[in-house]
Amino acid sequence: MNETDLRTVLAERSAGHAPAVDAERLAGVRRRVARRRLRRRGTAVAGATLALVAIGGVAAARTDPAPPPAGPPAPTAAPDPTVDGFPQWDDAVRALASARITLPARTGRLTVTPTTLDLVVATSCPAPDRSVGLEIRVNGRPFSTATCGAGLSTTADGWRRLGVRVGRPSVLTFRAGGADDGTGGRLPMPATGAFGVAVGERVQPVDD
Amino acid sequence: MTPPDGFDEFVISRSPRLLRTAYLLTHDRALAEDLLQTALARAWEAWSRVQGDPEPYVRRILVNTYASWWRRRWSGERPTGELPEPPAEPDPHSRFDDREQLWRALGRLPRRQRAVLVLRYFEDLSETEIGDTLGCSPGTVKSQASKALAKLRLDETLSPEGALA
Repeated sequence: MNETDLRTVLAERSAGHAPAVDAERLAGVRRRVARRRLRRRGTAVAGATLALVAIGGVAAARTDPAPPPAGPPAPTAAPDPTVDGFPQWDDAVRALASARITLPARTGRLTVTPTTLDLVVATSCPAPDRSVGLEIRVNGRPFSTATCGAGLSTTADGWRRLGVRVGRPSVLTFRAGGADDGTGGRLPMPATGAFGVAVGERVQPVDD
Repeated sequence: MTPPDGFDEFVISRSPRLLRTAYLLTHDRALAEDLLQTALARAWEAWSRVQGDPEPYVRRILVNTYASWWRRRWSGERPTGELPEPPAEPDPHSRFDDREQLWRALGRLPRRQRAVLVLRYFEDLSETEIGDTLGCSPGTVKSQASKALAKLRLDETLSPEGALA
């Protein structure tokens, strides 16, 4: 196989999409623009980052005391609010709970009480090049062994099988280690840095 | 909410190509659509400032959004929380399997390296154009492409015949 085959694979793989439904795509773009504007307005008015978590009616348990969130951002050109390095909002997902660990600690835990089973787990790490793996359990049951940086989810039935129920607290634990190096070994862990795991839930889009 | 002049026409005419690029980056059709719509929404708000053909601008948003999703990827979830299936044993006599393994090997590349290969071998962009898209120098593009090809060459799932020359 040579570079011609690479071109062939890229051409073949990218073909075969179902015909785009332009109206649906345009509607989706409009919803995103509306949400971005709404989010910016909310950022300018509300400011306080953790207030959104409080409004969501959930609590996050942290493994180490994190610094309090910054004060209200500037009304204009403010960055998206974050918690433990995660955006409070991103598209149609709202952060519910997060936890952050700093080396040499390798394990963390958070508690989340979802209002829906349309949930997403996000991870963050100091190294972008997949050198860290995270083993994640939900209510003590294996959920994923993912390369740090991945976003993860499963179906509502999948969450139920993990013991997650709407309105009831669930515990997510995670352990960091060197990621699979692709040859059966493990990549070395970074000497310093922090890792984070967060749980968010999808919210219904707001349209103008 | 009224779209900027020419925006809807652009989406209708250029989305199929941009969606293909998004799919090659994400390896997931739902994520590709998510990525494309995210890029288009960001382009919408800067539309009045875009001069000339908007496609390179939108492509740049798309690729850089993809490259940064590793650190803020709420919406980039995978459909399940399961581990990806291990690659199947390669069949050196099967061209199909070689291509399948090459596709999977592409998916194991770091994001920016994958993006460089997609822009180079699918979009047929020059090193300078890729550098403009990714916000780096042509030398960096060349280095990233070289590293990416070397990784594919050394990928054990690709048969010797399948290794990139």
